[in-house]
Amino acid sequence: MKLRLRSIQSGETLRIQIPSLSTLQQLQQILSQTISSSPSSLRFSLNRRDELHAPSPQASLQTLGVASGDLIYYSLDPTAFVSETLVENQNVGNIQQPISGKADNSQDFETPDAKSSEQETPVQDSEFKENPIQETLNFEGNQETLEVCGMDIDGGSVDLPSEKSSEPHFLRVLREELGDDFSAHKLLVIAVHGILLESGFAGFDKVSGMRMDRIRIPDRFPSTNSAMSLWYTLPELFNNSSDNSTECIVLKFHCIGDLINVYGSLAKDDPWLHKVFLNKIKFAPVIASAWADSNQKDVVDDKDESKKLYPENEMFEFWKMVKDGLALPLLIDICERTGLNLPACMMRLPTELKIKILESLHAVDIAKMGCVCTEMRYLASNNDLWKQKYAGEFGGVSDVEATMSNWKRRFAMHWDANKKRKRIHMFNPFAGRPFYPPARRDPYPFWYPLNRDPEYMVQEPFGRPDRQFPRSQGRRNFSPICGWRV
Amino acid sequence: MSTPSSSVFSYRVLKLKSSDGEIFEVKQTVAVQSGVLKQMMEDGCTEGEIPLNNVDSPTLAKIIEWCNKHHDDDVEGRVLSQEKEKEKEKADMKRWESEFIDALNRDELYFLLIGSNYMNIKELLDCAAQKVAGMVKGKTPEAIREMFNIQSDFTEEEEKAIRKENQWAFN
Repeated sequence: MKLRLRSIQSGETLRIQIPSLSTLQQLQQILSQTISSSPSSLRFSLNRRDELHAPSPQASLQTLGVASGDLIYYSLDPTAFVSETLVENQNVGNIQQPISGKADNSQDFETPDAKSSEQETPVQDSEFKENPIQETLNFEGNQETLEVCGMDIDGGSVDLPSEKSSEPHFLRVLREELGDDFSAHKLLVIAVHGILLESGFAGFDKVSGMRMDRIRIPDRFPSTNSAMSLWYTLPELFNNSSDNSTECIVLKFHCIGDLINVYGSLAKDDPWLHKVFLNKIKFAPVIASAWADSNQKDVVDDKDESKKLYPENEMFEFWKMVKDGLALPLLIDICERTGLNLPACMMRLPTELKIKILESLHAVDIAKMGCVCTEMRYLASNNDLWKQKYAGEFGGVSDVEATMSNWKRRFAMHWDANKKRKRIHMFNPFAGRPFYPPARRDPYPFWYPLNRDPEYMVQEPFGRPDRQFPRSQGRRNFSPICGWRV
Repeated sequence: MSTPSSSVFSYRVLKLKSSDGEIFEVKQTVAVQSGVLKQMMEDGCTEGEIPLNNVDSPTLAKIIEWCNKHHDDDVEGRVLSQEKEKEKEKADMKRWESEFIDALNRDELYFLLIGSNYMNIKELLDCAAQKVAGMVKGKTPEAIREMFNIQSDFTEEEEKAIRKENQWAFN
C-alpha cells in the first residue's frame, strides 16, 4: 500500500510504499531508515493528536484502520501525540481520545522533500476507519477533530469544476458530502447515493415531502447489524407533492459482517425487488483512495492521469453493480409507475450492453459517443476499451506498457501523428518513402552481343564452374539458343 | 434427463412463457441456441412452462423467428453437399439477418438487445449490437443525441473541455 507520511514538526511529506500486511513496527523501521533516526523515538498519528497504537506487534496497519493512500503524521518527539488510554479494549487497535491539548495549529507548508524529491501538495486528511468503537469515539470528539483537521483542508480542493475524463461522477458527490472523518460504511453509502443522484434521482425527505439536496447520514451510522433507509424521487415528481403522495423509491441499507446489502424498490411496493451486495473490504479502500486521489488531483494539474493510485477496474465494478442493480431498474420502475417518459432507450441498456456497443465502434466514434453525456463519457473513457482499440489500430502492446498507460491519450496522439503524415503525403507523394538506390540493370535487356563460340554455346546451359564470367554476362544463361542457329 | 434417442430429443418441445403471460412452443433443437435454455436442458429442468420475465411476447416472437431461421437442420438429415451451396446459404442468411434487424424500430431493437442478452443468444446479440453501432457510426455527438433522444447533462464549460479533449476525432 502507498502511504503519505507527514512530519508534525517540519510539515514535510514523504511518500512510501510498503507491503500491504506491514505492521506498525515495520512502518517505524522503514521510516527510520528513510529519515535516518532511531525507530524507537518515532510516533504516528492519524489525526495529529492521538497516537496510533498497535494492540499486538503482529497487527497489520490495515487492522488499525489505515488504508492505501492515507496520510499519517509522524513525530520524532515521543511526547508529541497523546498516548493516554481511557478504554482498555483488546479489540480496539487505535484508541482515540477527545483531548486537544497538543494540537498543532501551525499551517502546513509543503516543501519539496530532499529524500523523495517528490512534490507534495496539501491534501485533505483522509482517515479511514473500520471499527465501530473508534467511530463512536471520533463522534464524541468530532468538534475538536474538525477544528484541528480543518487546518489541513485546502480551501480550493472541494468542488472544483475540473474533472477527469475517466472519473466517475459520483466522486464529485463524495467530495461534497464526505467530511474529513468517515467510516467504511458511510463511504459506501454516500457512494451509492452519488450514483443515484447521477442517474437522475433527487434526495427526498419522507416526512416533510420536501426535496433534500444533501443527505444527512448520522456519523455513527450504520453500525453493525443496523439498517437505515434513504428515499429518492425524480425532480419532475415534486410538483404534486402537496398530498404527500409523491411516488418515491426507497433504499434500505443493511450491514451484515463485511457486506453492506442494499435493497431497493418503489416505496409503495412491498417486495425488495432489487438488491446489491457490496463488499466493504473490497470496495471501501478503493473508493477511499480514489476520493483522496481526486482531491489531490484538483490541486495538481493532472498532466499525467496514468499515475492513478486507485485501481480503476474496481471502481468501475462498483459503479456498474450499483448502476445496473439499483439505479437503472429503479428508474425504469418509477417512470413506468408514474407514466413519465422513460430515459432514452440507449441509456436504459445495462452497462455491459453499452460497453458491447462501444466495443464494436471505431475509436473515432467512441470518442464522439463520449461527448454525448456524462455517463457515456465515463464509459467511453474506459482504459481497457482504449487499450483494445489501440492494439487493433496500431498493433501490439507490450506488457510493460500495458499496465501504466492512458490509452485514450496515446491513441489520440498516435492518431494525430498519423494524420499529419498523411497530409504531408498528399502534397508531396515522395515524402516519407524510404530511399532506394537505383537498381542496376542490364544495359541490353533484349539484345546482347552474340558469342558464336560453339563450344561455349553447347556447354553453357549445363554450367561451367571452371569458367568465371563477369557478372554482367549472367543473362546469357537464359537465351543461348537464339544465337545457336543464326 | 434421460434422452433415449436423438430423434426423440430433437422433437421435444419447450414451453416458453413471456413476461406478459403468452406461451410459445419451441423445439429443443431450436431453443438450444439460447445459452440459458441450453443450460436448463442440461440440468433437466425444462418441464412445464419456463418463465422469461424480461422478455415480452412481441420480442420473444422475434427471438424465436431468429432462432428458427438459424436452427441447424443438419440434425434432421439434410446435408449440404456443395461448398458453393454453403456459400450461397451463408450469403442468403446474411441478407436475411440484415433485413430482420433493419425492420425493427428503435424500441423493438432495444427490447431485442435486452431479451437476447437475458436469454444469452450470442449471435443475435452481436447482430443487434452491430446494428446500434452502425447507427452511431460517423455521426456527430449532436446527431447521436438527437437520434437516441439523449439529453446532454454537461455544463457549457464541460462541453467545451470535452470537445477540446476529443478534438482529434473530429477532423
